[in-house]
Amino acid sequence: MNAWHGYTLMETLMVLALLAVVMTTSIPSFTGLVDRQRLRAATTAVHDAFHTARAEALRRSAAISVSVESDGDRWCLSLSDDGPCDCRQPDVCRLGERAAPVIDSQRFPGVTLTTNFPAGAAAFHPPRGTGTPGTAQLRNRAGRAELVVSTLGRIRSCAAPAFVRPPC
Amino acid sequence: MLIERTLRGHTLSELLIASTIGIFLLGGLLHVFALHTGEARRRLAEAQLHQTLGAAAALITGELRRAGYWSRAREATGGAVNGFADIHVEDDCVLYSYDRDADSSEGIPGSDDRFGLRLRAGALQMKSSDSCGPGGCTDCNSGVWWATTDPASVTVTRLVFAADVHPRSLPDGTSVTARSVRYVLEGALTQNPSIIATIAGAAGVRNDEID
Repeated sequence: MNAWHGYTLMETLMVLALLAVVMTTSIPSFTGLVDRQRLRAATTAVHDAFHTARAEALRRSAAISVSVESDGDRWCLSLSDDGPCDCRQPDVCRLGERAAPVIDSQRFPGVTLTTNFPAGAAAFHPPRGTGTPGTAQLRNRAGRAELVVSTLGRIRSCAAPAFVRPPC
Repeated sequence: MLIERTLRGHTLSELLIASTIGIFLLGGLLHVFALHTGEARRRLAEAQLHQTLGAAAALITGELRRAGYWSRAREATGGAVNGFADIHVEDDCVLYSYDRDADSSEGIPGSDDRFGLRLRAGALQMKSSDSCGPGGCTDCNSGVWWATTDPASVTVTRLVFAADVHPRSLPDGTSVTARSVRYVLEGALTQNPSIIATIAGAAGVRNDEID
């Protein structure tokens, strides 16, 4: 009775080869998912920072700057109640007594941020929360998102492909 | 010594049962993942809605509190009247003025001192100036208005203002009226109108009306 046996090496190898083929076809769609999530997370973080800046300008009755430093793929963004600041230096951007939180591109690999605010900084002013008109654009392989600040301080956002935010 | 029972591989039925169980487990896992992703998406959308409405409510409160401000009120004597004092409240619209640039010596609002808030086309709109057309200064349709919310992402579905007045008399006979404005602000996500939020607030006007 030698008719039954387990898998041979060849059979195992063939199964592994098939699995490898299936995995290689599915991994790109998975990285696409990760890219989309990174873009969304970065957009949400930057959007929140602009909203916070406007709210703080109204709350503190002081002009709040949103400073962006970008150098290729690396960028950072922070808030300050003392004019534009260099967010690459620790504890330089301050809101009152506290160091302002810095959003760093290291949290969002592959996502770039470009803005067209004069001198790289937007600002929101009291008493009505008016803002510096301009656009911040976030981009990666998965798509792009835009935040548009109006003179009246309205912060509009859009995304392509659209997700939660309206399409660009 | 050799074991008599020979080693066997899996039979077809065993393999099928195993793969069926595997598929069920995988399906369950995917289902949980999909639920989680959907929930995360919903939370993000809700956060966005609350952020927008919160900012709008903060703007409304701040503006209403400032209404009636006149930079020279202290120096004004005799029969001087604060022309900034009037607040006009309609259903979904409120009109007010304040001395924005602190430049009014006579207490008469200039066109760039007249403001307002209203609901139009699904957006909270704010008036930046008004030279008062034929309808006078209590016409919610005159003046230059700007949207402060973006109807592409959040639709403001309801905005209601209501005024409260609390008059009292000072010992010298002057009547002083403390005022406050209540408001209800309701909005929905434009892309998913089933997600709604409501904010009810009240702003005490810091400048009392004096007769």
